[in-house]
Amino acid sequence: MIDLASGTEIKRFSTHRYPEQVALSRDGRRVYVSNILPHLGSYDQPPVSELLALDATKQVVAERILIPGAIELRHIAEAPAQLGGYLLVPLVRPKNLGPLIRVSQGWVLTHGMAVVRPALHEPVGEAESKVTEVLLDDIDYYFAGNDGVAFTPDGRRVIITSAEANVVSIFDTAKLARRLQQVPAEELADRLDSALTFVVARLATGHNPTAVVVSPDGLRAYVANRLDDSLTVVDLAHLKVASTIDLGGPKCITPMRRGEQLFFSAKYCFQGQFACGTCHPNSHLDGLAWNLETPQLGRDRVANRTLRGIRDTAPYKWNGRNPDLATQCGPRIAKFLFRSEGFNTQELEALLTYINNIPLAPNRHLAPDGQYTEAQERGKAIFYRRHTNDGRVIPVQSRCETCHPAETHYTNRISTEVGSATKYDTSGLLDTPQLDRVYEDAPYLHNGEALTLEEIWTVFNNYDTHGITSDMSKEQLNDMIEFLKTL
Amino acid sequence: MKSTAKKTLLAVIVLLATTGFAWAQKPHLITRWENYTTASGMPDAKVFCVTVDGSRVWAGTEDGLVLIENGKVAKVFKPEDGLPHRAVMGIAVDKNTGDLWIATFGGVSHFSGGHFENFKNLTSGLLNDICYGIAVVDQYVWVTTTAGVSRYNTYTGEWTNWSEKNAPFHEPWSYGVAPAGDKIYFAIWGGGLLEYDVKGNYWKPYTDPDEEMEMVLFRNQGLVHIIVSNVAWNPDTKMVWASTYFGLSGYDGRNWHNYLTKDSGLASDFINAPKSRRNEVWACTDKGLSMLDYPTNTWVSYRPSQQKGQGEIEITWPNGKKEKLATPTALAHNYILNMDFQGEDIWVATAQGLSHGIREPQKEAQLYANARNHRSPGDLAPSHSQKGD
Ligand code: HEC
Ligand code: HEC
Repeated sequence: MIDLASGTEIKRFSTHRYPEQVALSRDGRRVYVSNILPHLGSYDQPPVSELLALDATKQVVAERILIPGAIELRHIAEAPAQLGGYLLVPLVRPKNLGPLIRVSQGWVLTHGMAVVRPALHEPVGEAESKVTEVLLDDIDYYFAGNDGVAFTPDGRRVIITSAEANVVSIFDTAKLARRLQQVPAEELADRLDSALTFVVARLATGHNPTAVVVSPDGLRAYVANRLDDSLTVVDLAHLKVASTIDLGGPKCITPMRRGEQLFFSAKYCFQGQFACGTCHPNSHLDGLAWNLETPQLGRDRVANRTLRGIRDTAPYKWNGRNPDLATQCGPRIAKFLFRSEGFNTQELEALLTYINNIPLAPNRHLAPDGQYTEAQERGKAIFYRRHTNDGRVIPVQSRCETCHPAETHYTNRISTEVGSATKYDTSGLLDTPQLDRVYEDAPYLHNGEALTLEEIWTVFNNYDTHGITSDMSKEQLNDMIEFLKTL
Repeated sequence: MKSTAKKTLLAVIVLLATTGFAWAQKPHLITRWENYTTASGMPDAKVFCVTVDGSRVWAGTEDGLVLIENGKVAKVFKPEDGLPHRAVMGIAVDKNTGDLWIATFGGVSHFSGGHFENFKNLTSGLLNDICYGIAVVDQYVWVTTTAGVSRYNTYTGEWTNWSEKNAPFHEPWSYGVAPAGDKIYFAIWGGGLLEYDVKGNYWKPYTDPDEEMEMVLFRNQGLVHIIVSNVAWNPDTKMVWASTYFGLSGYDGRNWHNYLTKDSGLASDFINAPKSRRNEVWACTDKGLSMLDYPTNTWVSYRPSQQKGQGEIEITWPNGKKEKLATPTALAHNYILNMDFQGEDIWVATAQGLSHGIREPQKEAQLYANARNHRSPGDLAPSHSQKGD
């Protein structure tokens, strides 16, 4: 919270991971914040996401509204008071616990919105808002990447963008209300026959429509096409595209931009079910562990991996089997993931150009001048230590720097066993992950079982198979983690 | 020089005048008690701590966290609701965000917007899961644990730990924490009082100068005893108060002021926690709740009387004379663990329930009017704690 007069920070609230959008309620009493990544939680439970509600008058946290079974909350739109002032928040419902081979049957990732009826009275310490989830997909075609959402001023219509389908959907709020009445809330989240009862139009936009606003007279909607540098103008009276406004972006599309468009496009997937960006929001990860390729339920579950700064970190995948990105993203993707023809040669090249150039985020834990704090300095010494606290020499193959050398993004690019495999893993031989910006990659380890950096050693390194850490004091471990956060 | 002397003289006169007024006044009394017990919905009789947040009162019990609102138990939170452990030892309110930070015997919990986020030794940098005291200062959460002190930076996620390994801890058992502006005080069981200088990032220990477990050889020359159970800071007088199992100690930055049952109105030398504001110093003892009106050296102690249901107020006047008054209601129990202020009222954590102590000016006047043993202004305190050095 910032004081505009002085430009200084007044206070800071903790959101969840990747706070995405902020919205002030119409009466000015609440501020809502959506989050892209879900809470860190048990691997065998569906994810839970969070919509933070702040009390704008008292300037305190009012409620953390939990959205079960969902990830990637985006824009927040509030219905006019006469409709009850509910909120609409676009979301994704991932079915990461089941094997991914079911793409041809649908249901791997569905796309919809949360209908949130906020509890506006003083909360008694317990979350009380009511949340219903409704899907916006059709039975035979999906609308991936729901992102922007806006009501018309009279509240009769809602315009919602599907950023990975390059579509805006327009629906009738009275019909939505009827649907919500007719089908029990616990069923709605898994019904693909909802959208046809209230969607009145689906219109094509440019690439990656992320945000939408409606003019005060309710006649026009303006859609921002992020990867086209253009606006799509929608005529709301006739439910058609009126025009496209070119914002003067480059006329010639570079392979880099083409690649990004492809990355955030679901049309290469069977029935448009999802894009690369659905599981890799912000070209990063979704915070989930997936049952990707095996037909066996629960075996070889793998945590998602970041795509930021991965150019020189081959081989890829946790099992280290993919020698390069072309293999990782090429025909395999088409066959296993998308169940479709996939990308042609040119498209694949563009996609690779993009993936090879996804930058690392600036480091939040490192001072601008690169100067270490005392704890980071001490932690560095521990990362590079060659002797245990009682003076024993740490064998070369057990030193952090051997497997995680600084010169090559803190990975020696070799697969090794560090005792982290469980009975559900076919092999214990795992790719040594790069550690650049590792602080934003939770959950950790190949199966995502370590929810925090600490747990990698406190819970999953009981036998000193992953570096020698059992002699460390709590202070030393904390220092080492402070150092890891600077990488 | 001249002007300094003048100023000093003036200060003395002002001081005399104000103390003169102060001791002429009788201390305020709590005249009514409303108790919350298992019968009124508390999950457990034993209440370890209580923290007031405006009209809300949070209590930590042996079996869960309790929210009291509008005069009743509004909500009980247990491990099945997300609390990391059933024994809740400390509760702190982050005034900035409205969030609660909770110290339990199973780690620390951040209760925000209806959701518990837990930090344990295995899942975070927390030093130990047995946590007693907790305090929020700006972006930092301070936790006292059985193995030392942990500090969590809510902005960066950094944990910093202090114990005998890297700070002057005689013993690691850290019980209480009291933020005091640029300093933070810690009650160390068996290790005295520790002072942390926030800006300078250094530690200073205060221990019992005679190092005698059961005896106080040098009165007012230091902490009364090194078994310090808790600590409080008075923002008005800028004094820090330490409760020990062998008396009460206050420190004003220069001098120590020690109080023992034998020569004060303190209900017992076994004290679980102090609290202090304005002119008041409260001591939560195993034999009742005592309040020292510091400028007049008048003591008021509260405990349930032998007569069922009735409360007893014992006033110890500066001249040592004692006077007993009766109230129709009483503290839930005489074993007091902690307390907090709510306006003129107080909330008291006892071994048999939570007590809401209410001031009623009319009743107070009546009680004083009925009391025969009036103190005359002439009897000023020879027994006030002596100055050190
Ligand atoms: C269903 C979710 C999902 C989708 C869709 C998805 N990914 Fe992934 N991606 C994952 C998971 C999970 C992993 C980790 C797999 C492993 O290591 O075995 C991963 C790993 C990767 C890696 C390897 C990173 C490394 O360092 O090893 C690359 C590259 C990648 N994905 C690119 C893509 C591209 C390009 C697309 C679109 C064509 C895509 N992903 C679509 C979930 C997904
Ligand atoms: C013998 C090689 C080896 C050594 C020595 C080693 N690591 Fe690792 N490290 C690995 C492998 C392999 C993994 C992946 C394990 C898994 O995913 O189950 C890993 C995973 C990690 C991760 C998790 C990264 C993520 O994104 O999930 C971190 C952090 C890490 N190591 C840091 C360290 C530190 C610090 C040390 C020294 C105390 C160390 N490693 C010692 C090989 C090693």
